[in-house]
Amino acid sequence: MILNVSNLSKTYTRRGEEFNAVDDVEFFAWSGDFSVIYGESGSGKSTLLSLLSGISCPTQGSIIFNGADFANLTDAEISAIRNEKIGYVPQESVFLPHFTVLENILLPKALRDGKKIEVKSIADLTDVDIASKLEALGIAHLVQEMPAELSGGELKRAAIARALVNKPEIVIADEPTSNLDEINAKIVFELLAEFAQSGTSVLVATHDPRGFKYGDRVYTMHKGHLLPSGESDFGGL
Amino acid sequence: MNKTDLNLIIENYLRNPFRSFGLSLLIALLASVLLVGGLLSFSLSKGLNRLSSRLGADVIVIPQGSEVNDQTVLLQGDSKYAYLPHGSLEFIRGLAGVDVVTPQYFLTTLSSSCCEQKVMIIGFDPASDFVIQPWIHEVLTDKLPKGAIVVGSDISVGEKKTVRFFDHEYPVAATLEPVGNKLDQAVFVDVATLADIREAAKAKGVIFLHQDVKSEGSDSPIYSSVLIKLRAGADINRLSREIHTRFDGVQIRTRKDLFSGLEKSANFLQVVVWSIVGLFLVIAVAAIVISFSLATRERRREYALLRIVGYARRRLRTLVLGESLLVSAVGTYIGLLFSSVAFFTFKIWIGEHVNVPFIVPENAEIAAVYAVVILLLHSVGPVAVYGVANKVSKIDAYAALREVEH
Repeated sequence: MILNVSNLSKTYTRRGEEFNAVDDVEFFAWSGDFSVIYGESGSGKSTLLSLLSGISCPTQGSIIFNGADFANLTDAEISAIRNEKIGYVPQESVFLPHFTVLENILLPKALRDGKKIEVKSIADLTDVDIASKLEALGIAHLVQEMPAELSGGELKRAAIARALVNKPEIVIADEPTSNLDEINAKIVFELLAEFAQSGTSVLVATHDPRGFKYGDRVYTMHKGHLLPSGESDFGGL
Repeated sequence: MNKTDLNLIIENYLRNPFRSFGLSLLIALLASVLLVGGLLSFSLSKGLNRLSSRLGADVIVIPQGSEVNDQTVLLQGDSKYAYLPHGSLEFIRGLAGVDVVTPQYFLTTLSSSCCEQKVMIIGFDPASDFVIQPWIHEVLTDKLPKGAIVVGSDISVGEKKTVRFFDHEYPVAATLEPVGNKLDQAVFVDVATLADIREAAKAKGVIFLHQDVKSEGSDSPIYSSVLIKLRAGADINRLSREIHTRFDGVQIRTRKDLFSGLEKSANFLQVVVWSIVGLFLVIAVAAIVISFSLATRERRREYALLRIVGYARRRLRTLVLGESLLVSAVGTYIGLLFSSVAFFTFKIWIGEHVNVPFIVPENAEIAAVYAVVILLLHSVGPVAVYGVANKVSKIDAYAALREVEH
């Protein structure tokens, strides 16, 4: 088991009143799993994913990643895990604006290896796997551009490439197809499914029903609660 | 900090040229002001201290109507007053509270083989002198050879190491350390050599004032000034009264009198210099804090991204501090380069125009000023943005991303 989440809650205060964005969530993920969390905006999906990736701290509950309890780890240790073993795709496409798309994509790798980003073009890439992913995502020809020059859909695909660059054990993607047309959304889901088939755990939060068919397990998020839906409930969508 | 961090810091600096160079320019200005201010302040203090330590005398007695240059403690002004009454030295020596007295003699030549400008020849009595010989001993351990002279640091002695007066060559035994005033253009001789120079002048038809006075009929020597070292607890006012009662036509100046004006000028200059430095420091720190604070707001998404890809909070803080350090370092070295060129090019001009003793520090002292400036300015950026860096390290990446979106 890669991820073991129990009794997980995140409480915020809004206008003086507390509310649980994530409320008593239980969740498990294994290698090769493709989990889909479905939910409307504001249901708590993004908050849950930020907790699972160690970006935010829970108010209560435990997150155990590969046997290590986040509660017992330092920020530096959790950050190292996020860098090396978790590929996180945020809902918002965010990039370093003064670095090329390729430099942005290779940033986690440089950080992991403790080296400067020396690759300036796709031709310099020695990692065939990265090059093939860029090709598969349809952004190989764009990587020398600056982020401001790419469309929302292209940036989303670049963010996915960045999440995959360190060959993580789990990919956590928040609305990975939100800015993509049908063809590109299909490409992204298929690539993530392929990733899951190769042994990586994939967790996707979406309100795009097109993703349901790729999920081994599908959950529904509603007012902070995560409810296992089962394949059969959404299989026909 | 590893290569990735360094790479990000450098690239962020280079790829935000307007902001980066703007801030560095401000630091460069601060570095310039600080370096020039530091060297100027050092030079003034050094000049004043050396002059004070070289004066050696507590009281100087000079002819009425003449003036003492407070930078050189030498007579200046109308030369017709440049001698003391006969017997004044002996009288002063016998007064209560007087420890040592020594006379000095001044001659001024309009030109010589050494210099284009006027050269002042200062004669001293080796038997009693306690002022000039200590300076000479700083550079000449042996006794001053007979007929030899010692020159100020600005006197050119040529390869032969001689100075020519009235067709006579005088060997130069030593060149004094600079004191930052007109003493650097003076020549120091003992009374015997001074007499030779007078004779040589007479042979060339030049008559010094002292010889005229001597021809009035008295055989007792006359002096341009008498310098007095007092015993501890001596009453200067009483001494002054006694001298005035005995002699008309003299004035008495104390070391405190002479240096008060100089100290005031030097202190005023120091206040001006350090006020300017302080003003620039405040402006630079404020600009850096404001700039980094604004940039931090603009760059919340970037910091959120770095958290997402695995930057720990402490490392984020290091990145911000590193960027501020780079801004400071680039500015510091640019500033030091330009201000060094300016200061060392114009140091003579500065020395001539500040109107107080001015001695450029020794190399080791200059190096120390540079080290202090470098250390101080390298820390300006990081210290100024430390609070901002802390805020960045505590950034809630998830909230930061959502704030932008909504």
